[in-house]
Amino acid sequence: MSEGPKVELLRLLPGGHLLLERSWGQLAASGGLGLLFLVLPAFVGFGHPLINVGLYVAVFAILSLGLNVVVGWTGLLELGYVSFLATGAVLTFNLLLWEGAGGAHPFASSSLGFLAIILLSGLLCAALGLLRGIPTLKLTGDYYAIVTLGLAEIVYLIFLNSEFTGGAFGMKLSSDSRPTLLGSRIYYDSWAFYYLVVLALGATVVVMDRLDRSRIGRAWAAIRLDEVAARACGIDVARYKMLAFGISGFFGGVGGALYAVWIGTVAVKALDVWQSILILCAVVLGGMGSLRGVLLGSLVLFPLRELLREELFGVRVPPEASNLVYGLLLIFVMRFRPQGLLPRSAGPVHPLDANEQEAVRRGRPRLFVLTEPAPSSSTETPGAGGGPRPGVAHSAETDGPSPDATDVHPGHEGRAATGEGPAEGTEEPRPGIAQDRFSPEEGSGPSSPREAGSAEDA
Amino acid sequence: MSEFFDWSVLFNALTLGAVYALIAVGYTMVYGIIQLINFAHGEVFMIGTFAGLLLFAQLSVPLSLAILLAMLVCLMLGVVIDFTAYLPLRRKHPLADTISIAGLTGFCGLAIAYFLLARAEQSQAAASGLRIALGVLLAAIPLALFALAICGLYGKLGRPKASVTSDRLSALITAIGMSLSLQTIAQLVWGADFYVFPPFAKESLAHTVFESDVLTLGSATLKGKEFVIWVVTAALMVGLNGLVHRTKIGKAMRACAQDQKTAALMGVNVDYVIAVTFMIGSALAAIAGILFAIKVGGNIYFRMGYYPGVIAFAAAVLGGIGSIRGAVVGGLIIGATQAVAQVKWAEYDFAFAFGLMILVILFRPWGIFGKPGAARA
Repeated sequence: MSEGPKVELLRLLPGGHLLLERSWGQLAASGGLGLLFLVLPAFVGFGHPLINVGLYVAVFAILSLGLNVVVGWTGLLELGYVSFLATGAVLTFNLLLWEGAGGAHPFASSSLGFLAIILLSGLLCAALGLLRGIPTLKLTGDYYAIVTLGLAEIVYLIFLNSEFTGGAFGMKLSSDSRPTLLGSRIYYDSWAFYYLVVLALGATVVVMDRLDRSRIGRAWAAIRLDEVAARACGIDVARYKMLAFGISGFFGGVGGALYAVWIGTVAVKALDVWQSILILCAVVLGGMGSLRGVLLGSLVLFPLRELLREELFGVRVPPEASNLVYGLLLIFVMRFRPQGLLPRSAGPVHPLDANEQEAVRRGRPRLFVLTEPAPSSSTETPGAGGGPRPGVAHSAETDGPSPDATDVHPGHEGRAATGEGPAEGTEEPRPGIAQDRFSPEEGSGPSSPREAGSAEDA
Repeated sequence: MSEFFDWSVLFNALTLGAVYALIAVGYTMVYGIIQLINFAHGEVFMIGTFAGLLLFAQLSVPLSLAILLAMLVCLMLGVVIDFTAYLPLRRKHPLADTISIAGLTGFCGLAIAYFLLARAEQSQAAASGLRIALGVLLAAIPLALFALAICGLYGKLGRPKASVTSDRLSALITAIGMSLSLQTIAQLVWGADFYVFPPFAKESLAHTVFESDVLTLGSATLKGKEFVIWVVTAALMVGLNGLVHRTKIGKAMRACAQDQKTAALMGVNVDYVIAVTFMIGSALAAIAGILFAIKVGGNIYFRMGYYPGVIAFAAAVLGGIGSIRGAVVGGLIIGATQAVAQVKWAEYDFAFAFGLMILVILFRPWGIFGKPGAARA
């Protein structure tokens, strides 16, 4: 089978082989979204309110993606995510305001300092996430939700009554404690900061996508679907749950650091539990566990909040109305479309891609297989490209079985017949089997990505 | 230890405990039957308080009648919340679904319009009449929804089609959404201001009952308003216990808590039982809210229900979810924790209550009166 134009195009890109499994629609959507963020300033100029909204959306999209790891993939309702945001923001401000030796503001005076802050904030929150995971590891469902809520309230009360957070008044950056990026201080119209945030969002999306398609993502899905069965299949549930808490916390911290610099003043009072609900709302609206859904949810919800601050069609809607919209959205989405606006295209787990199949065949499964498969194997599996694929993906995109699943199927049947070694068979359903197992659920329509609950009910 | 003990701490502990117990009963009964943390319960508490305040302060209704009317309002509110938010997640009922959605959306739209008019009113007098009309509509929609809910429960809207298997995560998210919506509606209608319960007129009966000193121990004085909370709570709990254990509807409730499907097969109208549970819990939340507002004297605002609500849920878990005795004991323990914490770390009192809640969930999720196997999470 000859390689299609898409495959040839993608091979030109650095890292393009990671995109081989994507349909044209997915590529176009992600490319378009990236382009929108990149060229937006060219039309309005930096410092425009629209750029401000873009920054807000990007920062909160990072947070939503981080929350999605726990809520969407591990299947635990997390209500205390805002404590990571607050911790990251408070740490950032404290480091920026720290005068160091002789009032030099070491963290605020160089680009490296700012990047270090972001990393430190992420690492601190990852550590906190792990720490919080120790007591909450065994909890599920309502009790997990209410414990995270309680812990977030305790953190909130401590922050509200502490000196190092500025207490109820909050903290403000002075002119010489503003972070520096590429030689100039960051203000609201800094182009460097804008592109940094966009870059961070892009990196987050890539990392999340790789996680979703990796062995880790499949382990999370297994835990979400049925924890007992996952354990029986040899998945170290505790380890993977902890990993989810840590990763989720890391992105919470990164988002918190970016949020702090974006907003310029940190008022801990504003970072109450209802902020977590807002982030949760974006995840729920887009579709829990669906990356494109979460991105769409962020794109729809967060601008709304900013837009309602402005006058709209000559009517000044009260800012409180946005909360009403969020509340109603939570109710309506749960009733009419519990899988979200843009649910996952694939089933609960992504089937093995060509790289991973190759690795499994060689008996060397890896967490991330980033190398390009040998040409022989890519021609062997039609999943890696080919002429008919865009058409298949297009027809399947609206509803029904995933393009990935359909594509992998024929390639795999041959291999299953030859009887390959059960290297990963315990942990990951082989694509051929996955196709058979999940297709009835896919066909049954909208409820497919949400079996987590029904499994819990049993 | 003596710095923590004072008779006033004990009085405070009992008062807080009694209020939490009254709210916790609503959580524990609902959770016992449908395994749902009804997050909106705290908002029922808030709306009940507002209803009592408006009736008493603005319409000068006698206090006892105001409390009864507020209980009635909340009773209806409880049913409406169940009808619009939770019932559609349990049963498929196309007509009722449509009506509830339309009602909810209409209500929210009107609330926003009401808010806009309130702003316009400052500039032009003509808006005032329209605002009253809107206010009437605002009140009429829940009334109509309540009537429809009752009709639906008795099968007048046609029998529900089938039960929907909705997972508990959806239900919990719906509850959070309902809570946020009700909070925001209250914020739109009443603003973000703090309201104060007006002092009672001298020589009035309420003044004698609430403001007199009942007991003086050491430097602490037990006020009438605290004593009233204890007495009312005790009486209501005894009554509720009787209702659950002696009457037919109580038997139906216990049956539903044990096994809904079998109860339905035995001829119990499960949805009706759930609605009654919501009614009882909400009415008790209203009375708790008003008595607490009288005791505190103010602090009535749109988010007042959030902390007491979550803390009361903690009390319900502590006592053993589904158990009324447990709600009372749990409420008293949490109230005592908070009252002791208030002595030295007043700004952290809720943190202690939350901490206790977390410890209970981690180490004894079935609570004091529950059985280990019965803990469902």
